[in-house]
Amino acid sequence: MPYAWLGVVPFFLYAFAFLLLPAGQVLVGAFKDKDGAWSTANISTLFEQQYVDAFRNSIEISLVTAVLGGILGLCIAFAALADGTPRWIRPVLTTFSGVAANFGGIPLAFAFIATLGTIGVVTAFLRDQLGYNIYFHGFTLFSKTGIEIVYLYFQIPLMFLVIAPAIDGMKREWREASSNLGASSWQYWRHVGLPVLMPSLLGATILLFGNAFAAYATAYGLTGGGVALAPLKIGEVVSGNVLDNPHLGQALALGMFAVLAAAMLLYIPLQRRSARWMR
Amino acid sequence: MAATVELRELRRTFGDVPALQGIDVSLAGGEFLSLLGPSGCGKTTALRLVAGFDRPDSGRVLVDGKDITSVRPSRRDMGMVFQAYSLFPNMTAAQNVEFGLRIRKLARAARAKRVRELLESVGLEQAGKR
Amino acid sequence: MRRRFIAPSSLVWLVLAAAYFLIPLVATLLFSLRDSQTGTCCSLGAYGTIFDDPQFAKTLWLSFKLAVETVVISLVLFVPTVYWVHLKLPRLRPVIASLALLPFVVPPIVLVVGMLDVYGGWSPGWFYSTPQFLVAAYVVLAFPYVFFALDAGFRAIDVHTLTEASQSLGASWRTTLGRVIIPNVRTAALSGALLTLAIVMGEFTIASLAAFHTFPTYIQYVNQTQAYPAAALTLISFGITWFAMLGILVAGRRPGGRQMAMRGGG
Repeated sequence: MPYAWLGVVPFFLYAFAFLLLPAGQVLVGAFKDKDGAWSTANISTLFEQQYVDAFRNSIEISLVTAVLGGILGLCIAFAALADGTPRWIRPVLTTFSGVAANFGGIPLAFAFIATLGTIGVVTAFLRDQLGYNIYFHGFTLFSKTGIEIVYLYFQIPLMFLVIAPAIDGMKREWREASSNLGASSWQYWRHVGLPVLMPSLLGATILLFGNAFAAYATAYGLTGGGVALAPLKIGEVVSGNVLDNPHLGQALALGMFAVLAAAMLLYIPLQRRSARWMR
Repeated sequence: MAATVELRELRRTFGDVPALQGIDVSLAGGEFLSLLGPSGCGKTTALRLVAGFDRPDSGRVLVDGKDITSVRPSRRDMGMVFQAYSLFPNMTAAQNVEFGLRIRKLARAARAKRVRELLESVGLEQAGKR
Repeated sequence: MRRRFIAPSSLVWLVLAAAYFLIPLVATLLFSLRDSQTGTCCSLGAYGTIFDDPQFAKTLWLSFKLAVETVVISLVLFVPTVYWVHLKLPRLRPVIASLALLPFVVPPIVLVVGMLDVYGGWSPGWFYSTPQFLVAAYVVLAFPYVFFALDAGFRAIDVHTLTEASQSLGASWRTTLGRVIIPNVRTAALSGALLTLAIVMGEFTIASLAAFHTFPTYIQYVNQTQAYPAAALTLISFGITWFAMLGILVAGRRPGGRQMAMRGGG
């Protein structure tokens, strides 16, 4: 019945107009120059030191917060779901994770400035009560490390939200069968537990990577461009802080798209495998 | 070879629900026992206590006269077949069969031989790789 | 295998987690209560400054309006689509689910570049130069979350039986949709709506680069000019997100709506 397709036409029109077309424009526009002619000049500009640095920093921060956030989120999930932990902990953590995962951006950046900034509450506490001035010892919030610390605030909850259902999916019988066959805790995890969880873990880590890589508001609120990051560079070009060359912004966006697409290509097969094992 | 198993006054209550209220069972070596009853009457609970996956509120489990109530399941040297096939999803059928032998540190060749024997004995040699 | 009390290692992790996540909030609260003269506790002056600022109400209201518009357009667009896909075009579902993964690869920072370029210079003023431009982008941002929430909601009900029953009783398509289908996916739609609200009220990237003045851009402005009121604003913003999440939790308690809200920072 052809008219059944009419029902979904508005959706596809919308997706085309406001998702596919802009995305396509970015991909195509990256290969044009100021006058609109085809050129790879902007792509070459990507290899200038400042942009290479920006991409390297972004990838580095994303990897660190993805792996660290992944490990910490996993440990917290295990702690919350372990035998003996009171039942009410799980829904509290789930709700809070939902809030924390959405809380990123400008407010989060400021919350950390109020905590660990030069006149932050914790900074002052450490300095006045314990005599330890972290800024004198080389720490600063407005650095890669600072960004990583702040990013973890939404990375860890995201990991928790993604991995908790996967841990749920691990049948208790596996653990019992394994111990019945004589395996210790450690042996269970090594032979059964971690292998089964691994696709979900890897998938979640990739999700975290993409999440950190694409983040703009938090980094902007924290450093205002002080640390070179790929999204921030795009922002600079778009707001006209750099030479008026919109196609450069598109080239940078293309670069980001490439990294994220690579991540997505790794993610999809992992998702499928973990879904299969959890059934 | 076959061991004797004894359950003495096993009690297990879950919250308000008494699952086992002091059962006594005595099995001589080589004897078979079937537990029959409607769902929820405590059959699974009793088996889990014997295997060690749960601890009784009171009472004891003895194997060959030794009290194993507080022994960890991995040390109890008994085999349990689970209600809902508890196969490890990340392993093939053969690897599943091999698992217990690996834990007991059997040599690889001996393991492979034993796995083949076992699969053949139930006519599933072809299914090993799945 | 059953413990009676929490394992020590679990306790340690949970305490550390609580510390890491609560300390910044407490610090922000303390910061917001600092008196602007003495620099120490305690004064509500910062909150007063915020509430007296006309920009606060103006941008908050604008962001809220944009959020409502986004929710309305999203639901009008996605509910019939998801319904149709579940009812008649199940083969399309993987296609749309794949599209829903696209915003992962085209995040706000990339989307805004594309949209500014595509729609700059020729689109009518009422679209390009007003905040409605943001709504177009926000619907795209909310799309994956609303879609997966609705998808789960539709999967939980028997779409075919409901539709056939309704039609055999003589109802038109509109009646079926409005009186039979929608009430049954209400909780899923509500979850999606609340999540969209949280997203729009917190969206900074596109608003800032498209040069509009929404609540988050206002927060950034205050961040750079007044420290203590900025802390107050941060807490207010946190409160809004919290409210939206609690709403989702409450909505999820009712049958038919259990899609967990997942989204990253940004």
